[in-house]
Amino acid sequence: MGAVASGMPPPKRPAPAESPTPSVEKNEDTTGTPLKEALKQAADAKIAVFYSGKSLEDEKQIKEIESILAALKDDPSVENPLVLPEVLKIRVSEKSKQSIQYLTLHDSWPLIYIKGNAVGGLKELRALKQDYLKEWLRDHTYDLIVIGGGSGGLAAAKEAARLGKKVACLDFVKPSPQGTTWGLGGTCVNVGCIPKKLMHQASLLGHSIHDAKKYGWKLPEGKIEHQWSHLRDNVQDHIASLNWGYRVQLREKTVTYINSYGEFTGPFEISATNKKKKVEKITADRFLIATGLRPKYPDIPGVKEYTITSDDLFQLPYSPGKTLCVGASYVSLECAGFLHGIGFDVTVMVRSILLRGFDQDMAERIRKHMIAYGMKFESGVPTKIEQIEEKTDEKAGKYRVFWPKKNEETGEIQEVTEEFNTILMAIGREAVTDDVGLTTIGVERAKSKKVVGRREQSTTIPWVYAIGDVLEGTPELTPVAIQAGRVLMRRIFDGANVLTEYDQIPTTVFTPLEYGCCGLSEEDAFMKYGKDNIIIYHNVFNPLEYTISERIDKDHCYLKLICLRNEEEKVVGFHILTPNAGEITQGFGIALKLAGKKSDFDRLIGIHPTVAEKRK
Amino acid sequence: MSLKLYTAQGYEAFQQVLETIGKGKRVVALFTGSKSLSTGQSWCPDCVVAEPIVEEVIKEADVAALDVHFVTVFVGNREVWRDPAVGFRTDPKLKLTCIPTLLEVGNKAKRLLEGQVANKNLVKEFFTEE
Repeated sequence: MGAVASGMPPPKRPAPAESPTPSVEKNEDTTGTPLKEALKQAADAKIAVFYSGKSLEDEKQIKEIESILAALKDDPSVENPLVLPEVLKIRVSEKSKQSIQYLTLHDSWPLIYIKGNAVGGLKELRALKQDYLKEWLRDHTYDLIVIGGGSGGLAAAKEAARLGKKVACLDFVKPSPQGTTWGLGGTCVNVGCIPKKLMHQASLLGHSIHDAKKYGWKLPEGKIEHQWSHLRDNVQDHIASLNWGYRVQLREKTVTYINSYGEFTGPFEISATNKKKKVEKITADRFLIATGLRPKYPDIPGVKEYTITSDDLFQLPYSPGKTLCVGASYVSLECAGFLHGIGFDVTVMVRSILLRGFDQDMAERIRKHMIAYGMKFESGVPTKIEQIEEKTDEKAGKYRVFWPKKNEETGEIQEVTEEFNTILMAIGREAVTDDVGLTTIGVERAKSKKVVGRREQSTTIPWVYAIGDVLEGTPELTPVAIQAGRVLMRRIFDGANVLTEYDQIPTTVFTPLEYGCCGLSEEDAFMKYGKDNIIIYHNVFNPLEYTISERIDKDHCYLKLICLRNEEEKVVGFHILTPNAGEITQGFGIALKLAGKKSDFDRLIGIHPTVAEKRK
Repeated sequence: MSLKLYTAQGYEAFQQVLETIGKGKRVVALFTGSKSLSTGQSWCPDCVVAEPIVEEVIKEADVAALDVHFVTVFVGNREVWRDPAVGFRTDPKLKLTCIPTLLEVGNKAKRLLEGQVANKNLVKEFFTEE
């Protein structure tokens, strides 16, 4: 659940220069509408202004605001003249002012709200185009239009509907270059977390079958074969049931689902195009962009015709065969891991380091494990891809990949080549927002093409919000998008005093030996606190279950706690490489959230025999 | 092109209807409790609620014009239905767990269960969506 914003320490403010006697100041701090009610009033009002009632400056600004709004009034002879609502003036205490400013990240004061959206002060109000402002005050069909039916979009749409709002959710998948498309639910459900975890499980089960022999099970001799089509079909059946489940759920919660591609064609208008190219125009008071990301392609000849991405892998009609995974991201490593686990010859090609942004000591351990596991690594970047044999619906093709490699003996760079049946591009993901009409209405985007937000609100267009992977500066994770979606809806529709906490988020990389982490990496901890202030406790361990089966993984399991010397060894980073890392890390995550110290970890008696008990 | 209606009493009859319709056709089936010969009422209360709603939907012009074969399958009396070995529960293509169930033959995911079949909007979308 989101944190209560006023529970966080307010930003430091200088003492007022000419303050009256301290006792008067103290009294004034408790006047005004209580925070909770004030926020609700602002959320519900057409136009509201927060002020503190102390200075004349506040009053002057409010008069200015009212005159700007009065200037919008239509001539009575105009058809459908705009009815100007009254400005609701809400007086709050100094303490509430700080909370509101922290909640909205708006420094301006008095703070203007229009239809429940924080706009800013006079400066921001003047910056808005007059015709946008007039259109804003008119009525629209929906309270909210959500663009994107993925983890974030669906969570937000359902929450807004739960709060009694009229919501439409647009979802449309533009086919991948290979022609792959999918149903409602977004990346996670269709081409991400869900199929990935199921295929990871398939690979783990393969190992369990081998282990089983040492545990006394009588199994047929010889290699146990795996059938790709069977796995793919079962995974796709499950995904289809999720797609359907979401369809039914939206309908039951009275969210209007529109299977069309949405684009802004006006400040409050979306043109939605369905797959038959029919265009429907819809309007709303607010918009939520939750369009996520798509895989990036490098700029090399042959790449879009001869390679696939994670968009295509989980529906591949033929067995992948000998595979090259290009990329050092967790997408590349996870896919490479399960493909190898179910029996394919897999090579991973990386440009430099593995898992950029993650703890590099752990990344190196993962590399060592994958190599011990039998996977191949190549350093380099493909320069060209040629087709040797075309793929069919039943059989993988054959391709020749070229890349520069340093000759061990002579030291010179040579071009080498190798043949593969499947090439998986996993070099990164990017926001595809060029066709959403954001430039048309002026929503600010970063260089990455993600939406720039003040928290989740667009920095330039106050009635447009963004959550999930498409929002600049937030972790690209499904649970983050879901949380952000729900919390945002409560804040803007209900005036709830809640924020999404974007730090200390536990995550797991589902490589063959899973890596779970919460908090800071070693590098980030050194940078933030200084190397001398950090003390690291770590442990190599051997899961009991792996002893009998003589698994190689037993030499690789590892755990470390990164602690702050000068804060009684408060734990700021938790990292573990082990089977079931996800389940373990979720539990330990709460210790970090509650500012646990090494001594707290020591006080907790372990469960035996487990891997998780070894956290000393 | 229009909606074709069929009924079947029991599992075997349903298999026969499917055979009559043949392959490659879009078949939607409503599984519902059989009606008592004396009262004309079904023993399944959810089915009593759902049936008239489905009936309304298939009468609507745009649904009636669909190229769909719609089978109303009466599963039998309460004892027949409760039997864990009954064809409806064991057939891997059906695997029914409750009635009323509205499903599309050949599509494992697409089905509406119990209270969902009483939701007119859901039922309408079920027919009109590919």
